[in-house]
Amino acid sequence: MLKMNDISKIYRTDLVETHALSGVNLTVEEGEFIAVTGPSGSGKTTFLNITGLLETFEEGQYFLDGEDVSQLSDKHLSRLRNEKIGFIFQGFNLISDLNLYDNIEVPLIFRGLNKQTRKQRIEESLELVGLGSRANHFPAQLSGGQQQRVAIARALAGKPRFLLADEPTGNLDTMMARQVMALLQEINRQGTTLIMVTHDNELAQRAHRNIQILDGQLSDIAKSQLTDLAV
Amino acid sequence: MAIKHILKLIFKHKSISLLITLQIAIAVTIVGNTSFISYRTLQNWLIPSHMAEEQIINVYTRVFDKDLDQGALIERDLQNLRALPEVEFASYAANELVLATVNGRNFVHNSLDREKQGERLALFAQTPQGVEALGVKLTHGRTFYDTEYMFTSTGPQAQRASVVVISNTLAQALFPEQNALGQTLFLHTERLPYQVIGIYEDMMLGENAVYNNSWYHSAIIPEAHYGQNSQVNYILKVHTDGSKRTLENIENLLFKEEGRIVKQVEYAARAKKRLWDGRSTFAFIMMGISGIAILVTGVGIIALVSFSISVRTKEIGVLRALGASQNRVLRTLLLENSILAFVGIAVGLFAALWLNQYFVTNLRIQGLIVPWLAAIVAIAVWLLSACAVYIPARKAAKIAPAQVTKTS
Repeated sequence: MLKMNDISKIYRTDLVETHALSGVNLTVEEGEFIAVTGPSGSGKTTFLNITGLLETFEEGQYFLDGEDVSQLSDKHLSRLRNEKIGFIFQGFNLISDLNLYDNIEVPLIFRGLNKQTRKQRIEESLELVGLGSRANHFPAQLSGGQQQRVAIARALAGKPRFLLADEPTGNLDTMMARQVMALLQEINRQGTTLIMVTHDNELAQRAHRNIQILDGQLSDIAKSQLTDLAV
Repeated sequence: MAIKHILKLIFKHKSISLLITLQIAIAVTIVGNTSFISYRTLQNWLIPSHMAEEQIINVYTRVFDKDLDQGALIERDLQNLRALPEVEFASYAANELVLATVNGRNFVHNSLDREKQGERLALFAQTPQGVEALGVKLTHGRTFYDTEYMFTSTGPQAQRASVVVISNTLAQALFPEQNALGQTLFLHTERLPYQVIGIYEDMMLGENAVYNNSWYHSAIIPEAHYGQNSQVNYILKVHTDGSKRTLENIENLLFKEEGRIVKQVEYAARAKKRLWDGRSTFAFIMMGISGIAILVTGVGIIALVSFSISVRTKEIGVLRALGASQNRVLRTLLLENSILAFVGIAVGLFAALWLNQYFVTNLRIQGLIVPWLAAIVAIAVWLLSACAVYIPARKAAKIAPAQVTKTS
């Protein structure tokens, strides 16, 4: 479903070249749950941005559902983000001035869905994350865990090919983190592919497959090695 | 984002939205009135005078020697003036010169009913050659016989004429349903009767009448009185077009007479220019203010929208991540601004109406609302605001979607 060949990303300033990613190869199959771990500065965020089509890269090829995305226009990339990827961010990234219903509706409008379909999908996804009765609330009226569930609902409403989660529990306390994690696992069990970037080894333990990122290079690791990683 | 969402965001960011709306409203108010006033002034400028502006000359003189016999002086002046090679016709004129009303306001009435308001007009009180000097072109009836001219000093024994020739437009205004020829009309405060014996093609002749939108209302009577005050004025027609030399010759000739001064000798063209000068100046001042208003509005919108975008960088990044293309961000911001502009323009147009009312009633400025001009101003201000928004909006569109993965 997702295939990267030899991807490299270099950040250039006048003085230095930083190789954020070098020669990354990755294949993700339908329904997988992958955790990508690595210390700060290892290239996690760059990997996340490229996977989520938030950033372009210099070298290599990236196939999403068989389509080479390396040369696509902004418009095309925006459409792919909207249709194929569900984002879940550490900071939730809800629009604070809009209520939950509107927050979830925004990407569905970008998709061009009609009002009826939008309404149905919003209600379904809010129901799924257990916030069906809160559609008219604003993000600030909710706890962090609830906000993250709204973000998950927003990601799911678009019926994406995969969910891309960036430290989804990073801003939550332990209790809420567990609930959110359980929800993500449940969603994965129902068939949605999940790629999660984290530096939390406990969370990473729950994935089917673990990938470590170090100095811009990716490698599969066994779960037993996770505990040794520096944070 | 749908309009619904944009509206919600506008209401959330009240102060910025309000400021943008207000600026647009002020710009529309000022620019709207400027265009109305300028347009009307231009329209006035373009009203054809239908007269030989460069051949008709107004002469203003003042007699300061109280013992001087004004009647004899006028006779001498006219004789001397007519002897000049450039001069075709010369006539003594009382209070009305071409596009220069020296004294008073004149009304003409078609009945003795005191309740009825008369028509404003330029009333030329002339001696022989007056009709020719004005270059009047008769369409109906006749001009005056020499015996009909009355030329006496003012006072109770002043002789009055009994006939009048009037302009075509005035004839229609006074006698809309009948032929004006042979009708009686009433002039002066005493409402003395005069019989219409001739009708001439419209000419723009009177200053006071023009000020009151009666461009072509004028009448000529064959009676001229002198001695009411120190003023002795003449209307001449020359065959040298706009020559300065001619003006000098006339001035030099009149200077030879003792006991009076020559105030001014000018072509009708100059009098006409003076007629619109005040309004033109007002229009130019308004244009200046408009320029400033447009500049302030443009810069203001750029600043306000830049600020509003800097506050919303994160939000725009989120929209980009959720699948908004650069184009869509740009369109959304332009749409958001257009909604504000629409409200601002609506408010501004109402304010413009009010300001226009103020100008018309308090400053005697002609600037009645011109609907199609208002529409153009509305579109122009909307375009201005769209261009102003485009500058920061283009920057906003460039906000990287990767914004969302930066940890705050």
